[in-house]
Amino acid sequence: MSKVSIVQNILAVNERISNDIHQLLAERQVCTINLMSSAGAGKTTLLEQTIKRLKGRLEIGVIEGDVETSADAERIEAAGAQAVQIITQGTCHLEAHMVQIALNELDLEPLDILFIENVGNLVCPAGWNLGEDLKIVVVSTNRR
Amino acid sequence: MHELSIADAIAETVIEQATNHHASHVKHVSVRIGEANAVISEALIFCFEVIASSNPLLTGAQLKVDIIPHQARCRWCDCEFHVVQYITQCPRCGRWEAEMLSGTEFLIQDMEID
Ligand SMILES: Nc1nc2c(ncn2[C@@H]2O[C@H](COP(=O)(O)OP(=O)(O)O)[C@@H](O)[C@H]2O)c(=O)[nH]1
Ligand SMILES: [Mg+2]
Ligand SMILES: [Zn+2]
Repeated sequence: MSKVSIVQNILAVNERISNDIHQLLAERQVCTINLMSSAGAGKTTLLEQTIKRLKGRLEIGVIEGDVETSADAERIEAAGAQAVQIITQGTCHLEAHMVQIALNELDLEPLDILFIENVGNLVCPAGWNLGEDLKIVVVSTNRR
Repeated sequence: MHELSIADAIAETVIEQATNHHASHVKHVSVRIGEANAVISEALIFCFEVIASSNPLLTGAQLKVDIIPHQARCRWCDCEFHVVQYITQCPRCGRWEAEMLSGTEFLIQDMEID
């Protein structure tokens, strides 16, 4: 028996894939935004409005993360943008390998901005980089 | 439940390293995880055991999890304190300008192999 020192970030594999994604999207000149919030804070609504208001000016694509359904991707398509749904089957955040697969289903050529709507959760999505340029957090507050 | 993904990530790196070292079997793996990552040791160990049981290289491998306390030091009065639930207010002078000392680690430390 022998002891082997590793001393490596637990998420090293995710980091590697995230770097590959970042490089691919940078080459295609697509600005990528990882959109996060707790469940129901308004990510999809914000995207629908953004798509409608930027129509004709910027071409937007969306990767939708959800634990169970593809309802959000349908809302995005209805708003007029390309959408790919990732159903995580219980996993509470998106990981880079999931985004890598979803990218195969998007036509990157016309895109200016790619939004990745993460799973509604504020704990783990922050730990997994997805190759994005920016992370944006949507926060909802009580009306008074 | 991010423990399952973390266990998966640990197993992936361990398998890669064990293969590089021509190991026939992995017996122990130790990881150092900062408290700020909000990982539950018992859940992580359970998930790792489940994943390990389906891979011949890892069957029966034990995971040892060291949780490193989330500690900070006030930039104003040098008071060192334990950060609970990400609240970084100095308990002595009440200011909010603390420097993180530990608690964000996320490392696979080492493994024992045959
Ligand atoms: N009052 C109000 N409701 C909103 C706003 N944005 C979203 N909602 C509502 O909040 C609910 C959840 O929104 P959704 O965009 O699906 O949240 P997501 O889970 O973060 O994608 C829906 O019923 C929306 O109509 C807002 O700015 N104001
Ligand atoms: Mg949504
Ligand atoms: Zn102080």
